[in-house]
Amino acid sequence: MNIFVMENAIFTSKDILEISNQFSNINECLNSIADRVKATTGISIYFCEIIGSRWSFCAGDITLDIPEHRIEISEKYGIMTGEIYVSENEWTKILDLLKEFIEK
Amino acid sequence: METKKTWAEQVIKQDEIDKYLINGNDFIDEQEIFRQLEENKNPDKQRIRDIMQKSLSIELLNPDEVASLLAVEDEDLLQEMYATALKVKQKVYDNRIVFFAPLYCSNLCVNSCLYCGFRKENTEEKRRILTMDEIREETRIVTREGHKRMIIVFGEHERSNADYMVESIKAAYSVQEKSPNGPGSGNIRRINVNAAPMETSELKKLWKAGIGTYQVFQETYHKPTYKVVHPSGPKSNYQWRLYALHRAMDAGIDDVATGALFGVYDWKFEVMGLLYHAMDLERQFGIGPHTISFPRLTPASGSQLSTDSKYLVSDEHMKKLVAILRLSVPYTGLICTVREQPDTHTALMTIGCTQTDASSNIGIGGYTDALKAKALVQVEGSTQIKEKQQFILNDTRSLDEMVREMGKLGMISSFCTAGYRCGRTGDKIMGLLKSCKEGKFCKLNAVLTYREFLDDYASDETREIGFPIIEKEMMEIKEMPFYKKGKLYENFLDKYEHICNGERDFYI
Repeated sequence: MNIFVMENAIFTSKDILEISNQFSNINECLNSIADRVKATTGISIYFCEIIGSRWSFCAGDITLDIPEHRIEISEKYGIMTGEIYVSENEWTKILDLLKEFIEK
Repeated sequence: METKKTWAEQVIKQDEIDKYLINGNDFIDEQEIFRQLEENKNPDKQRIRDIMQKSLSIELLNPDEVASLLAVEDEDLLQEMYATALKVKQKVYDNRIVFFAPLYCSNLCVNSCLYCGFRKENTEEKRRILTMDEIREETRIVTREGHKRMIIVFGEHERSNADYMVESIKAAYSVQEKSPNGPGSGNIRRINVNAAPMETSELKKLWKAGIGTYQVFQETYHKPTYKVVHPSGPKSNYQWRLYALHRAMDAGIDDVATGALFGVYDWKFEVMGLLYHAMDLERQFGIGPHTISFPRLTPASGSQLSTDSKYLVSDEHMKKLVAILRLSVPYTGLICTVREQPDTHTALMTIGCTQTDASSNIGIGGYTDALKAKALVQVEGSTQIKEKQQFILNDTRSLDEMVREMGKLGMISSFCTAGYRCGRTGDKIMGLLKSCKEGKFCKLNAVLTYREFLDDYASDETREIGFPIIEKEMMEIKEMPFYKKGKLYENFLDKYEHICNGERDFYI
């Protein structure tokens, strides 16, 4: 399955900006971003707050039971993801968008 | 003239109690509990079996159901309850026992608990607070045994306040110690904290230091008894303690642990109290307790109550109450400690406990002192100094011996700290526990960490018992449909191979 299409601009920094303007609460933003990533790419993700060695679930796909990847996207946040259905290049772009959002 | 309040007088913040009350009341209604115990005192066998079925569906039991279980006296039915309790445990947590070590940092205390050696009036107690260097040294000794989890314990005192706790946690996390056998080095990967109730802003400091679970025992849920055994100090405020875990949740600490000190009041009442505590956490936060502990009153220096209480719990009742807790709150971890005699400890492990400590020394600086004593007098076993600890331990077996004992019982010892490092915390882990999926991860991580232990710390006798257990677990993992989803099985095998090759700290 590969339904993520970058050229159609389904998942862009503009969309992330829109999501962040919709919600004042960070976890609601992250939930919405996780929904958007799932809808556009089929990839399940959930966000964790990193505190020392602790990764504490904070938002995203709570039904993702068997994560395959654990990725630190900033000092404060990490994501757990299910199977990745997009190319490495596309996935890197998605991660960059997530990092961009978190850094803001 | 206004007198300046002492530190202890400023601990309690009434507004941080009131916000959790329902119409001004807390969640322990004693008359209601007594009524439930009375009205369910003659349950028929079928009702008990129906309740056990509900437990097997991993559902929290209601108070009337728990009261019915508490009334069971029939020996055959009790045996069924023990067997069902073990089944529930295996369904939720699989076949593993998680090990941890306690580290007592300070016995300075402003409270006067009648059962405790730390109480401020106890002049027999030798008071001490560890420096950060001493905490690192204690941690090194614990790490050399093979432990990966610690619970740090503090008395309630201005000098062991939240800032001291944070420094202690950081000091313990910083230790990296070469393992005695293998190529690896060990460290403490998860630190839980047992400390007095605090205000939310102080709890946030612990949260930011990266603690695992925050543990506060109510000791007794019976208010008149609570008042008698806690005559002064901040701990004398029942509701401040009752809502300690609620404040922790609000501070962001989503793994909280409760417990009662059995032997202070009627054990049946305490089981009901623990149930109501779990229910209220679920009601207010959607997350029940991560673990429940059930320490039993044991002799403590200068404490008459610790030997004379009329509510001391027999071994038989201890076994029953543990099974009932397992059935009542099926998704929650149950912690059995080495306060128990070795035989009782083993018996309790086989009816649904999920965690235990081992090679424990609960004196302040006790691990270091025991090591020095051993070197001086060349004796085997740990040393207990009554005047430096909260109570007396009955099971002083080493971690290696305990792991071997669990192996003989067919159980795999686990040093897993994976959930906490993969976002399986709070409501996420609750969901996985209730749907019996977390146990599948427990199984994988138990194998990974057990292998580390066998290679790095175990004696030859323990390895002899341990490797066949790994083989058996690996066979089961290979056959179970759950592990055929996605790349989970391949991922596990890959990590296992890394560990066999001497690399460390792989988890799923």
